[in-house]
Amino acid sequence: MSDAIEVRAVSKTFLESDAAAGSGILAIRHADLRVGRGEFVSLLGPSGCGKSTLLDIIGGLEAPSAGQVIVEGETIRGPSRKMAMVFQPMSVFPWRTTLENVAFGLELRGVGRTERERTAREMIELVGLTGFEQKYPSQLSGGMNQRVAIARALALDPDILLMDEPFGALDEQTRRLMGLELLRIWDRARKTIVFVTHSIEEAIQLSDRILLMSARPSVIREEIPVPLPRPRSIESLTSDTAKDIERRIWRALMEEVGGATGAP
Amino acid sequence: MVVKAPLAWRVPAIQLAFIACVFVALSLSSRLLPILPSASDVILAGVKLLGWREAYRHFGITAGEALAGFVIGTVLGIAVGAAVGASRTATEVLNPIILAIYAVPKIIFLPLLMMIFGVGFAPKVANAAMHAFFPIMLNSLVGMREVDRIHIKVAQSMSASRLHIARKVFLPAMVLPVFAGVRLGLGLAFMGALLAELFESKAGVGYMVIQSYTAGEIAGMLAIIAVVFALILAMNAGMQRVENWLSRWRRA
Repeated sequence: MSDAIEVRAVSKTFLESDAAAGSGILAIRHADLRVGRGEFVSLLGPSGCGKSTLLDIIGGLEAPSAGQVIVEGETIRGPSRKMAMVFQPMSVFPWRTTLENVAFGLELRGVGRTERERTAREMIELVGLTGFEQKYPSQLSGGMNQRVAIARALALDPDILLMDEPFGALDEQTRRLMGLELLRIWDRARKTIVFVTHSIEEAIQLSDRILLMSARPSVIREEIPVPLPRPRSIESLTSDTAKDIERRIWRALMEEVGGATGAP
Repeated sequence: MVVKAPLAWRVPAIQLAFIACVFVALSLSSRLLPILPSASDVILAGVKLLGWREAYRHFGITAGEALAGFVIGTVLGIAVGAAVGASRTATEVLNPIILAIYAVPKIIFLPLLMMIFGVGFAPKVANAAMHAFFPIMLNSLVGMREVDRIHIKVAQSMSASRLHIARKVFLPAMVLPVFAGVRLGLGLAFMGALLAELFESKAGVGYMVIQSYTAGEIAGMLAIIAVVFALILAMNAGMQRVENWLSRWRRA
């Protein structure tokens, strides 16, 4: 199986405006990763560890300081039509209705009104928001707005979805349910997904593989496969396999912070 | 929802009561200070004013000055605010200067405007424009700076061009902050036109006020002020309706 995404020796240094010339902050050090077609991979790490920066680099929004990103055999030099990004719920446009939000990307591509609304309605149905086409984001819950954001990305029919802590602002229950919902959509739409999160449980619930990132300068320190059967349910997280994975992640995180406290 | 229905009549009822209080106060004070007209004098003067053809010409002139100044102030205000707001450096360099000028009463520039524009219509328009310009420019500048980064990022991730981002992210995001400035600017344009007329004029509402005052017709003067007040109330109500429509997506 060929890779959908290949990240080769990517480093990122941010220049600090008031620092001495030539100095900078090393955000990511030599990241290497591969994501197979149709795979669901999570980038898991503490806040501020550079996982979102790495996602931006994969998405072509940021240029790497060194190394390269190859998507479906092509080197990334800017945003690509093969990928679409999903951000936090607040990323929906408050002045657009559900239908207008979902059709946004197609509007940018110059797709005619009839066609883009037809596609938008299909996507709205896929994420389970039929009946809310004419509602504004202020009239929807956080979880519903996140469905809008997902539909907006799916409307562009990308091969790959890059998701940057999409459920981070939601409460725990909504977050779990949205996770299952995402798995259902993923199962129907058959996309490759790279999912950035700081929630261990969320990473285990969703992923085929978890890439554990360390704090700055960020490196991918461990790759953890998640051999839980699919389709997954709420019970998946309470299985022994899930508990083992969680323990393994905690052990790695404890080593990271100094190891003195020991794993729970 | 239960509170809303009584509120709908409670507010205008209190407002009417307030106006009644003003009339009572006016009649009482006219007894204590015979120089002041009684409320009935003011009402009579008002009726006379509304029946006087020439008055409409004066109101028309002031409205013309204010609206011309408002249009100029709006166009320049949005253009300058958006241009400065587009650059962080420009904002940081100019912000203290803009805020300092903002705090200065703009009427102080009237002699300068009269030197440049002479007398008559033009300096009043210029003064109205000057008054309208600042709140519109400041709101446009702040609106520009406060466009949500995440919305720009969404558009960029979809390969939006700069023009697309300007039209489909910045433009809709700025409608409300800019309109808040426009609303202030409209009121201030009328203030600017009137103030300029009070200093030098041969026509307009300010001219009428000064004429009534010098003629000792205080009831007539108060009647003019009352009409101005009523016009501003109507104008604000109109602007409020526009704002409600523009912010329809905000209401849950």
